[in-house]
Amino acid sequence: MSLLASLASRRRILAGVAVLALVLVLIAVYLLFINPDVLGASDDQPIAFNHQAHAQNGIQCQYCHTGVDNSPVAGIPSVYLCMGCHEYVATEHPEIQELTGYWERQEPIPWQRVYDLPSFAFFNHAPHISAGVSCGSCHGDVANMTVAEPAVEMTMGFCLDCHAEQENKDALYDCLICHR
Amino acid sequence: MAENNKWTMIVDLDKCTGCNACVVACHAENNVPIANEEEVIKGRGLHWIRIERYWEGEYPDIKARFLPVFCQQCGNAPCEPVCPTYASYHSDEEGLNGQIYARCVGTRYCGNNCPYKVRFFNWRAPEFDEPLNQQLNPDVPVRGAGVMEKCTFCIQRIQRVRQTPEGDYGPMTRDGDLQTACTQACPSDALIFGNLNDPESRVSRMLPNDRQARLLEHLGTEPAVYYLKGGTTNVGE
Repeated sequence: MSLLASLASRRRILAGVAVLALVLVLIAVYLLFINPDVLGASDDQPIAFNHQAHAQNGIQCQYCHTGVDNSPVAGIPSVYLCMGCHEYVATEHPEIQELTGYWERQEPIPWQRVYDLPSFAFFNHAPHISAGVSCGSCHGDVANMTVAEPAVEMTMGFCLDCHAEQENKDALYDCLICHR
Repeated sequence: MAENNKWTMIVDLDKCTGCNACVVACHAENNVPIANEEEVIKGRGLHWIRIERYWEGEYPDIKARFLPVFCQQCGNAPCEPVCPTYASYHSDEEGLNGQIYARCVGTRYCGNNCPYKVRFFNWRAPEFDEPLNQQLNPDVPVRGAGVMEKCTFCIQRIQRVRQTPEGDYGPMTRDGDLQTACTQACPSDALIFGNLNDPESRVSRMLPNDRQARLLEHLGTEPAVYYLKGGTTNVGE
C-alpha cells in the first residue's frame, strides 16, 4: 500500500470517529437537556409550584398536605384550597393565571408524582408524623426548593437505617409492617 | 398485656352453611387472581379459602358438612424452613406466617411442604377481566407470575387499623376494631377473628372450648385456626 493510500484510509477512520463522537455528544445533550425524564419528575409538573415562596410566607406543610398526620398518604391539595388564597393573592403571576384557568375550567391539576414506591412496599405517613419524624428527613429541605425534587433514594435500606435506631426496633423490623 | 399479637381465627362448623361468601370476599379484598376452567382442571385454581364439603350419613338420612380451610398461620410452620429466600417468614410481632412476595423466587417448596395445601402458585401473570380490574384493592399488591401466595389474615387491615391515630400506633388493637374480609362477609358468624394475646378479646373468651380442634394438630404445626366441632349444638331433630 502506498503512503498516499494509507493516509487516505487513516483520514477516513478519523472522520468516522469524529462522526461517532458527534452522535454521542448529541445523544448526551438530548438526554441531559431536552428529555425531561432524566431530570426527574419535577420538570413535568403542569404548574411550576414554588415551595420556597410558600414556606417563606410561613405556610406549614400540613396546610396543604392535610392527610399526613392521619392517613397513609399526605395528599395533594384540591384546586379549591389553592384558590382560597389565590383568588386574591398574586393574581397577576402567569403561573397563578394558569391555576385560575384550571379553576375556571373546573379541571383537576394533573400533578406528577415526585416520589414513587414499588407496588410491594406500603408506606404510611401518619405513624411517622406521630413519632416526630420531620418531613425533611425523607423529603429534604423542601422549604428551600422551588419545584419539589426527590431528595433521597427511597430504598429499603434507607427505611431500615432509621428503623434500626428506634426504641421499638424489633417491631419496626417486622417485614409485615411494609410488605403485605 | 403481652406485647406481641397472636392473631387467631375460630371457625364454628355448626354455623358454617358453606355459602362461599368468605371465598368471594377474600378474592375481592386480596386481589386474588381468577383462574379459568382449563387451569382449574390442571389444579391451578387460586382460592385462599377452600370450602371442603363432606357428606355425612346415608340417603335419605344425609347431611352436608362444610369445612373452610385457609392458611392456618402455624406457630411452627412447615413452609418456613424450606424457603431458600426467606420469603415465607414468621412474624413474631403478629404471630403470623408472612409471605414476602418480593423475595419469592417460586421454588414452590413451601406449597409442597404445607400439609393443609393452602398455598397457591401464580402460574401466569394475573388477569382481571372487566369490571374486576376496577375493584382491585390498592392496599394489597397484585402478585406477578412465579410467586407463591396465601391467606394473610388480611394483614393490610391489621396494619391499617394500627397505623391510625385511633389505633394509637401501638402493637395492640382493641378487639372488634378490625375484621378480616371473610369474617366480615360471613352471614352466619361462623368465622371469629381476634387476638389471642388479648385476654378480653372474643376469641380469648371462647377458648379453650369443649368443641375445639385444630387441623392435623398431631403434626405439631401449632395452627392458629381453631375449629369448633359440628354436630353437637343445633343439628339433628
